[in-house]
Amino acid sequence: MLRFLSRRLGFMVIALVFVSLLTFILMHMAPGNFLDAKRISSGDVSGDEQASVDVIAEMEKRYGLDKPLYIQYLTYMKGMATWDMGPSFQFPQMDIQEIIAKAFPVSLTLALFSVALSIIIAVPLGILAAVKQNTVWDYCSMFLSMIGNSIPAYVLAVFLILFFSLKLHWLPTAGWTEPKHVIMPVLALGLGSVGGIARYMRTSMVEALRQDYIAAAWAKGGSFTRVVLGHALRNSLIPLITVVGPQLARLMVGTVFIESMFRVPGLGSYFTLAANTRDFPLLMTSSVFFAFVIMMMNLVVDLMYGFLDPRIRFE
Amino acid sequence: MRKTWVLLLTLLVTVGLLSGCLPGQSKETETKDPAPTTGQTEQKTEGPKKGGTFTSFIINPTSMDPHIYSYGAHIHRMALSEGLVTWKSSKFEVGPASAESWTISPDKLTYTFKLKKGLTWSNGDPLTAKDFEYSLKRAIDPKTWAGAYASYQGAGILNAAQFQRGEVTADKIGVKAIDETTLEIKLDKPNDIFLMRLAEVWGLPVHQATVEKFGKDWTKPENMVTNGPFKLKSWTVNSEIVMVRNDNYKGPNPGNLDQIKLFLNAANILAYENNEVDSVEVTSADIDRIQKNMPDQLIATETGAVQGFWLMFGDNQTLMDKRVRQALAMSVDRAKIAKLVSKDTVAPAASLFPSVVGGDWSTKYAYKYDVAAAKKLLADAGYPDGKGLPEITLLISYNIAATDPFTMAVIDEWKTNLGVKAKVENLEWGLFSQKRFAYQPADFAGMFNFSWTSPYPDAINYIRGNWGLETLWADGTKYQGYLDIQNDKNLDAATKSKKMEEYRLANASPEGKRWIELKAAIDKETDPAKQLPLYQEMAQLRLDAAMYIPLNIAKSFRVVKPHIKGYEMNPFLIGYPMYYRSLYSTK
Repeated sequence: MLRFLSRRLGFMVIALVFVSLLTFILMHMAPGNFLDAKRISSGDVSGDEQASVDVIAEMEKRYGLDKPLYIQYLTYMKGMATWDMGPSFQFPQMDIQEIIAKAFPVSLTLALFSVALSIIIAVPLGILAAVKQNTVWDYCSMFLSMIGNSIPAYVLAVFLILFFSLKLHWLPTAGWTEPKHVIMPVLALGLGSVGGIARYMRTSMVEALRQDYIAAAWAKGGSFTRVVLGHALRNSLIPLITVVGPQLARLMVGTVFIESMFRVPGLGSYFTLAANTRDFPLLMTSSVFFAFVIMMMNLVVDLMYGFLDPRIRFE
Repeated sequence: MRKTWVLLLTLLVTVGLLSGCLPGQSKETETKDPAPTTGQTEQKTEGPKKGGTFTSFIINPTSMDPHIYSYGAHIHRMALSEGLVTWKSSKFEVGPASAESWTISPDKLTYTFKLKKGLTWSNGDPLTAKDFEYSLKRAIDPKTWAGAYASYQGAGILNAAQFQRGEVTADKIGVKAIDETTLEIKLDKPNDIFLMRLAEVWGLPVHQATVEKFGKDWTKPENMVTNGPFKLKSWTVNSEIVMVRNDNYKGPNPGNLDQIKLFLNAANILAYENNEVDSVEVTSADIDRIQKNMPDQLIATETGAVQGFWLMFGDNQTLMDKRVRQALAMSVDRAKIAKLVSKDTVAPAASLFPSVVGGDWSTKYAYKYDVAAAKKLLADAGYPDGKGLPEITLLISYNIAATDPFTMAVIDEWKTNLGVKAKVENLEWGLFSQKRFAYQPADFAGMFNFSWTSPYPDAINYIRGNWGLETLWADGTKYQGYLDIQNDKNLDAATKSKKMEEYRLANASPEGKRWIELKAAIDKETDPAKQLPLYQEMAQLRLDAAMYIPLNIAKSFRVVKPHIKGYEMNPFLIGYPMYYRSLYSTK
């Protein structure tokens, strides 16, 4: 187990270095840079040529952009290793670690609630469809989940706003200062993934119910609870976790559309802003952080396999 | 079996614990002040009622420092901080703020401000002339972040430019506190709009002790000390800002509202219709519906933002003949397009001066719509009825898709009126920002889209602030040499600037050279009255050169709830209020 863990963590470090290198190279190959963006947004496109040259030189010095590329890269890496990345270009008075510390809990809250919501709905739906396979129950639940699956979260979001805010006047259209603000973004994100999860649940449940040990359990006179929810459910969770794990990771690093529609101050809005404004330090950190979260989640999923299926051993 | 339930339970407990991270429960960024107690809503006196809340949107600020350029600086100017002087209305007349009076020396070089007695900061500390000396020097200092972006540039304080270039020390800057309530500002030459400029964000004071104690964290709500009619209560980055009345405000321009709440993202008319906000910007997609359903709540203003197309340089010489450019500029019926295609969501602009700068600039230096003359110019240039002219490319960035129908109509006008073919190339802004100033190949004849506004109504800034002719080359191929100097990593900033200046002087077109001469002559001239004819010549020269083709002026549309009064739109800041202090609620 320990050996497994240390090997996996070792690979993770190597992968993260590759991710950072690739991001750094792509970032510098992409057209445009932060200073140009700043010049556009502050209207200073031509102005006083003299002042522009002076200011750009000053800004380059400030952000270390006048140094050779490999020094710039090593500086970022050192910052990341010591969790002190310095200020973002875009938010000159906020350190990047501060941005992540503020925004990550927001995205995490949204991710956990919406995944919990979709599991709570999808798992019973999937079980129902599997147990009542090829009956009207199966068709209905799969039809519903298909619909859910084919409506993008941002479309659902618009319907939610129209219904709950403009029609019923129950909820504000957006915000993130009161607990009720969580409801619509969670619904929009959670309902959308019900379909996918329910279909996985159904397939793996059908598979599990066909196994010999289930037939044996039925034959021994096991109750529905014991056979289906006890034996079959547990063994059908492995495919489910394979799907839910990465999905959780994706939501944890921020959801661009939902965040911007509901004014949620999560990671997604920072990441898009960083990409749009070529905010190099924030862009670097966010890519590496994204990769890190995904890899950690995969590791957790792998560890859960062993927990769910004692036959799996980590060597 | 048991393990499964343990797993599910763990999940539920985690979710339960996480509800601790729910919005509204982490109040770390809020100050601990109790709610303001000054809301005497039962006032029977005339004039604005006190109390109430105003809720709206603002462009997401990336910093809350008045001396760092972002919308945070504007929030300071509009609510949190107060400079020596202020603008009295959207006409930008200057009125007293922290300074109750001022005198100007006969040579117009020395301004002496008398501060109002007994002024305090939001924490109760006295506000003195020393605070203004510190703050003005901080705003000028490029180390604060980047001086030029903090909007100071060109206001003309003595030795400020020399200090920015590192030639003199800060104590040589012409700003000095004579005593507690007297501040002296010296200029390097007379500037008729200096007082108007002083009301910009760079003229706002910051509390020295706070800035020095907390460094960049001084802008956090729990640390921030300001001197304006409102103070910052909370700032949830990317989400919302809440400001409340500053009870320690002793200046002449107090606010009326108890609270101002500004949302920083997802500006949406739906929030207005759901009564969550009191005002919101109306985009062109919603204009028709709003005009029909709530015309009494709609307010609009023409802004100072002029849009059009900017000449690009390279191997292709087609557009280097100014008669071709003049023909393009003269053959577009802007008024018709603004009315029929854009349905009056933009105003036509035949001039690089918007009408909001006042005077006759916008009518005097404007292109006449004259198809016959344009056809003749094109024929004289060797392209009768557009024959032989290559297709012209108009470079735009997809961010400005909202004005696209206008551009398409312009292309259509060129085709019908002149027989000139043109097409749009729409790029992601990164590509756009790179390509627009790049050297173009032989098969490319084009112009890129620009939009720019001066932050204050001053015709001169529409000459000096942007759209200069110094880079109008005698022939397009000269541009490469200029780029080579600009991109030379081995030159220090000073040498680079000098070389660029020499290169411009040697290789600019006759109009460009004259432009440089006029600029130099103005810089030598100290009497504003004698500068004026020179500026007028520059405006005429630029009109004639047609390096920039103006097309339209942006308009700002907003809806404001009927119970909110005193909303005066700022035409130079996309329709935000001039100041939040003038707003009041009758609810």
